[in-house]
Amino acid sequence: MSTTTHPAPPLDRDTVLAAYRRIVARRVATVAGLALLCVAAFALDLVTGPSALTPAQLFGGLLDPQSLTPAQSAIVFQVRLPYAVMAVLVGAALSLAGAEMQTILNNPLASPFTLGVSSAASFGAALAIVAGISLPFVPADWMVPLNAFACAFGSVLLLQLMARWRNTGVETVVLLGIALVFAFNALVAFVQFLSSQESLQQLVFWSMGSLSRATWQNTGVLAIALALVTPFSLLAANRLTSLRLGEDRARSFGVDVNRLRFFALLRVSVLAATSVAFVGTIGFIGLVGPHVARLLLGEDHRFLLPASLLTGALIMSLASVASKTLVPGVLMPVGVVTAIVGVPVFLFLIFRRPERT
Amino acid sequence: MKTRITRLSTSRTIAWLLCMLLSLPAIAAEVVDLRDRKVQVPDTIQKISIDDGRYLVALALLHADPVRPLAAWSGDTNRIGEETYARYVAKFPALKTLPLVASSAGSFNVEQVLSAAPDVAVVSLGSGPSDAQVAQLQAAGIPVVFIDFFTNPFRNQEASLRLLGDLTGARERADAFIAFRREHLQRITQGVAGLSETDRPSVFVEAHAGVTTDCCNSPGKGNMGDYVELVGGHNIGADVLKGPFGKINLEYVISRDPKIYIATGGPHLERSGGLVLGVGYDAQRVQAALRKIASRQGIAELGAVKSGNTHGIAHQLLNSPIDIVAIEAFAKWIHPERFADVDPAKTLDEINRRFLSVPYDGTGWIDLEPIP
Repeated sequence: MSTTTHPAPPLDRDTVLAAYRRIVARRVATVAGLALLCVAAFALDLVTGPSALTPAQLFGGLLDPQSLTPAQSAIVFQVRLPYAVMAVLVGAALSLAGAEMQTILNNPLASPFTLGVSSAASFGAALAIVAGISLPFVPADWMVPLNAFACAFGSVLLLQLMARWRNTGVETVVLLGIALVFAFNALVAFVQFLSSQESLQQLVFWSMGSLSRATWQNTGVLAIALALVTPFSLLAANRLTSLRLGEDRARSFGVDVNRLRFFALLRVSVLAATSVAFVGTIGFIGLVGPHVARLLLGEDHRFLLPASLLTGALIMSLASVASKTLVPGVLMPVGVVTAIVGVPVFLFLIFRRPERT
Repeated sequence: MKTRITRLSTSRTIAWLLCMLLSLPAIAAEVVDLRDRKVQVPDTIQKISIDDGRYLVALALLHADPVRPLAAWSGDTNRIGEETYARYVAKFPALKTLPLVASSAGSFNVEQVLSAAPDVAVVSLGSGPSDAQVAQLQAAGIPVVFIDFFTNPFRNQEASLRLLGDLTGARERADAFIAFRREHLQRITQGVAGLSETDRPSVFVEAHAGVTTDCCNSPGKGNMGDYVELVGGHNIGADVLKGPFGKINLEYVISRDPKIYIATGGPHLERSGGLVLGVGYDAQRVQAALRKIASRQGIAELGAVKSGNTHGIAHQLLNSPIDIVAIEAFAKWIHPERFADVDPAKTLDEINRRFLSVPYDGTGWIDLEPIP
């Protein structure tokens, strides 16, 4: 709804400025609102769980760990907190990656996963699980995530390389990405075909995304990756916005489009590959998080990027809540749940949006 | 009165004639398989085919040379473990060159069975060939017999072993092993007879511990959970999982505070850094693997880990014709005082001595040593 509001004539300077300020104020308020919702969802995620731990006990325990029994303390600090933090980080990372991807490729269907990142990660994991192929000197625990990361990161670099080599347009990059998806899916299927039942089972477990793989170590690694990448994304926000006006227009503003694209893809690959490596395949967030943000805020990337971070985190936190509560005691794979939670929100926003003319 | 006698003797004669006919060598005998199908099988069977490598272990219980009655096998060494396979090959090199048929884990291949031309094709209940494929094989003169050791071991194992005995001419030895297993099972069921629900300690069984870095794949209703219930424990996974298997929330496990924690593992978890156990692993290696499993985030705080009620068991021992050893290990862990006289190691020794032609050695189960 906010995307298509234009200040009405008469167009004197003050009215325009006032209208602009109103828009900015509204967008800031929207982002702040999203942030509040995120905090609420995070808190909800923290208080949800199969054990009889009251919110008072939980928040009391966070402030004063001594007030908890050892079992409660394990629940709070080793289960709920890392899972909830991981949910926020993964959601934010995938959604930010998706927003940048959609912009630089000028394609609403682009997301890190539709262009082969998750397929490549699965292939990396499959190599480690089935064939035991991995980088040298890596402990067994880190073999699968590291392999997944290496392949996911490599796939985006490959995409870059192919795109640069022919100096092609964005449509070709998208097509190349889709080719990568099919290539990696076929490779995964091939490895699966060769693998034993046990390895196959392990691979299936791995690829169903799960937050229960969150430890403080890998949560920390993802947090660092996100903290390093986000400032660069935000710095590029204005250039990304100009790119939405068309490639030629962006060039006329003096934007080095190729360079912008290269670094954006680099950021996308770091974020997506790190997320997938630690929690497995969680689709949908990277596609829908940015769309929700766009529907709420429009194309101004100064707001769109932070809003994407927040919508991703929000959807992911809610998905985490759902994955714990759908069947009490059982942990549903969160990759399955994201769509169940996300699709209704998405449909609601689409149908609420006024038709563009 | 007189007519009745005559009639009786006539029917006797007919029965006798029928018996004669049936016992003619070319005429088939009839067995009832695990699908309750009546199958005509040749009276003298030279070779059978199997679609699950673990049936080789069952055959090793019955025969001094378990490879001799085989026309083909499934080659799924992963199911018995590479080490076990190596031991069988070392003793029976013919196994290495034995023709292959598809394992029950893959898709059934009629052509392979036809070209191996066994006298009887033994296949797995639940995952074997489709009805159409069975009909194809039967039409080609290869009777198909369904057996099952693993989907419902308590109901099906005896009948399956008896069938294997019948088909390979080792019925006596099959009966002897069944009697042995029954005797040991009885000791367990008697030990827990009349046990009230409150006397059943809570047990958390983690299947394939360390298959991924996170926790809590647990048996639910049926499956391995049955073993826990049989020996007088209560499987906490069964309270939340509807199916036989699923992933439960670590928080649920911590909040239930199970008295006993049993992790299953095997050589297939070596690559993922999980719990390794079974043939070819020494106690030190297994202990180290179990210690690592027990010190994972959240698991390390479990009462069962701190109090030393944490154990590891080889998955290949559970899903096995010699699962009685695993059952006894479970019994001792869950009710040490009731089963003080039960000794799984002794039982395994006896199985190795009396039955198995390729002995099971290695660390099949282990208790976690206190973490300093």
